[in-house]
Amino acid sequence: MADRINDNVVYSETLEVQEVNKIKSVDETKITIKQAFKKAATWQIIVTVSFCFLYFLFGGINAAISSILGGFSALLGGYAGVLMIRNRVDQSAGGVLIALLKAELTKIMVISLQLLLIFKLYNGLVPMALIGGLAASVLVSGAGLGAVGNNKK
Amino acid sequence: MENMALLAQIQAFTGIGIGLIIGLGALGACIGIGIMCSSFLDGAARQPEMIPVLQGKVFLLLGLIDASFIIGVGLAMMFAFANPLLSVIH
Repeated sequence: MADRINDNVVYSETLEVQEVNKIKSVDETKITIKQAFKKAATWQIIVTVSFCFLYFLFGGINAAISSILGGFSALLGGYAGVLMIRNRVDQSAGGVLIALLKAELTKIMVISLQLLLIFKLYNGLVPMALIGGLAASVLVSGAGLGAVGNNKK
Repeated sequence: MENMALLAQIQAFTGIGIGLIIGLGALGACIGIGIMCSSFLDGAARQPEMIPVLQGKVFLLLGLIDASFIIGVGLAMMFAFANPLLSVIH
C-alpha cells in the first residue's frame, strides 16, 4: 500500500515537472522569437532609412518615399508573421513547423498585398527605388539570427 | 499599326517573363523550405529540448529563403504595372 502511494506521488511529481518544463519551453520560445524579430526589425529600420536618405539625395522625394514604402512593407510583413506565431499552443515539432509555415504564408500575402496597393495607388512611384528598399530590407532580416541562442535581452 | 504589333509583342513577352520570375522563384523557395523543414524535423527528433532555439532560427531562415521570391514578386509587379520596356514605343 505504501509503495503504491509512493508510486503515485512520484508519478504526479513527474507530471508536474513535465508541465513546468512545457510552460518554461513556451516562454523561452516567445522570448527567442521576440528577440530575433526585435534585432531583425532594428536592422531593417536602419537599412531602410539609410536607403531612403540615399535615394533622396540621388533621386528626389518620390524615390525616397518609394524606398521607405518598400522597406516598411517587408517590416510589416515580418510583424504579421510574428503575430501569427505568438498565440499557438502546440509545442510538438510538427505543430511548430505548421505554425511557422502559416506565419510565412501570412508574411508573403501581406507583403504582396502591400506592394499591389502601392503600385496601384501611388502615382509618383519610382519602381526601382521601391524594389531597392524592399530587397535591402528583406535581405537584412537575417540579422536577427545573431539574437537566437544569445542570452542578452 | 506597327506600333500596336510591337506593343502586343512586348506585352506578351513581358507576361511570359513575369510567369517565369514568379514560377522559378517559387520553385527555388519551395525546394529550400523543404530541405530546411526536413532538417528541422530531423534535429527535433534527435534533440527535442532544442525545439525552442531551432524554431527561432527556422523562422528567420524561412524569411531569408523567401527573400529571393519576395524580391521576384516585387520585380514581377514592376513589370506588370510600370513596365519600363514599354517606353521604347513612346
